[in-house]
Amino acid sequence: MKSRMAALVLAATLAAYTVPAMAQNNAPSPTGSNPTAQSVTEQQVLEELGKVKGRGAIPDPKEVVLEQPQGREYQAFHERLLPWIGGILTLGMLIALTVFYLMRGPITLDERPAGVRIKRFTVAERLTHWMTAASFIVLAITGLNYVFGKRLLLPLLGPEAFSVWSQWAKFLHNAFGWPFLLGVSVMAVLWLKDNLPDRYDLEWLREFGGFFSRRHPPARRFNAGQKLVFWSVAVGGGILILSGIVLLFPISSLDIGSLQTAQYVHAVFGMIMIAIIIAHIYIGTIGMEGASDAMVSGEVDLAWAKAHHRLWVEEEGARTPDGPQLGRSVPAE
Amino acid sequence: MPVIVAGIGLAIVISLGIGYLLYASERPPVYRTAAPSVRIDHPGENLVGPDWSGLYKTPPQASEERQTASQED
Amino acid sequence: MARMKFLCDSNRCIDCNGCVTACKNEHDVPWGINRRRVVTINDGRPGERSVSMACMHCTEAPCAAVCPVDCFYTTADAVVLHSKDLCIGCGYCFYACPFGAPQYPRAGNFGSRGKMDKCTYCAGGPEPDLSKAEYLKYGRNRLAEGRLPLCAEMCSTKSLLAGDGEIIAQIFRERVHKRGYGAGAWGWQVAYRESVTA
Repeated sequence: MKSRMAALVLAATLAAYTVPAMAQNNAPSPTGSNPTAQSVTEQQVLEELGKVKGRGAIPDPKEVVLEQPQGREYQAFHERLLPWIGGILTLGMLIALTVFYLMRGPITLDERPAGVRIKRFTVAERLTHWMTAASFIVLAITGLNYVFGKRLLLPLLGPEAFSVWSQWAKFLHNAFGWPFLLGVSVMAVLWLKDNLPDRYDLEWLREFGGFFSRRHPPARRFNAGQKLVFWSVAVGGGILILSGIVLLFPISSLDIGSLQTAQYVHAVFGMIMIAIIIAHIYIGTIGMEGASDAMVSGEVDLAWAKAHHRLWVEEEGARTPDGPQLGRSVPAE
Repeated sequence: MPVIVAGIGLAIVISLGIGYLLYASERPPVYRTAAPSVRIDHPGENLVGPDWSGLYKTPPQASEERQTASQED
Repeated sequence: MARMKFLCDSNRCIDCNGCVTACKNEHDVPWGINRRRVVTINDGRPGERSVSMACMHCTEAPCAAVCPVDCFYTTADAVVLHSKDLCIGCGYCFYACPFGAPQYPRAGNFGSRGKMDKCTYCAGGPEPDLSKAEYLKYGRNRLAEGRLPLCAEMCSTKSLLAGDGEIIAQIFRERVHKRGYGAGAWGWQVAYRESVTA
């Protein structure tokens, strides 16, 4: 008897809980209309548009986006994928160069120096290069701070000092983008002709510049390796500048998707360019004897020029934008 | 070497220069975000504020007439 | 402890913007910044829905994850707050936020973004509770006074609910049951990874 009563009470309680649930789905509301059936649901709008957007009282078009779930994708990219990309590219390049230096050593000038110096780069070319280089160093360090700062520097500096440094880093990053823009544009114009591909490039690349064979594949004013750097800077730098300007003036974007895309592009190309420029700095300083002379003083030894850029000396008269400086054919030493 | 220093200096000058120009050409946020119908500047003359004396300041023309009128009373 | 959430019952919201006005007034929100805003979907057509949206104080907030200076923190009530002293105005939290809650009032140098400002659940910031510094930077701290956010208190139709997640979900469920229909809790799946099932 008792158990039957208990069962009855249990059944009644269960019924009391389930009946309202059924009523919500099937029973009509007091007015007979079912607004839910007519109206749009969140899931529906998300499926149609990929985000929830409507109209509102605020004039800013970005304010009427209610939900943009791809923000979580941005988080996944920025916090998980991007540090890996940056770490692998930067550290990988540094390790590769270290190994190369230890195995091969610097590329020395095996020929006897001629004692005669010829002009390699004009003042305008060097000034532009160093202005761009200084800007790039500042941009690279402050740019990396956005991604790695809180992982590497914050534990060392503490929150307040790190925030002050990061505010300065943001200001410097925004500021030095402009001389970088100017420098890349001027360099692209100055050196475009000399960096167009020619028939000696393939052979140079096949021999890897003679780095390992210790030969000197012929080259004109710029060899294929230098041309690769030029085009990386022109194209990669151009992409960085364009995406950077989009990010600097958010009002120019119509919606948040374009800002996120600009961020993805800017961050990834920034990492790639940092890796390339590390290699460029290596070869221009410790990687090759006599190379830094060219960009610091503007002049190089004639024997160095004949060894590394034979056709520039012999066929082009060691031409710079100021004009050829030697006769068409230079008598052999 | 002097070219390197000159290059760095040029970069600094250009960056700070353009930075300052962009900053100076900005309008304050209250102007940028207000709708055209909003009046921000040019307050009127008889607004109630901390200096309100409690008296309505008559405009100069009407005050002369009122003075002569009150003298007649 | 309570796990604070917002729930906007879009069947009741009439787009009066009372919540927007209450918030702007109470916290002296700077020009051009809207901590809370009302968005209307399918405006003028049958099945029009208005939703009041501000920071949802998400579980595992994306804004906190992407901040390069780690200026966000979550209180014991699960309210997501940030420090304007540490903020550098980079804008990443705006890119990551699914709801577009972070906004940037003052122009910094270059006219770039100033410090981020967003809905604080009327819970102030890292400054001492109910101090003047806290009011000037973050607005009023109602939670420290034992009150709930003003937008929900001022809602003319009580469509915007604020409070412990369990309690407001239950209120919403009871409403759906009583009136026989419900358009769901907008934003809950994205913010809290749960939906209110009635």
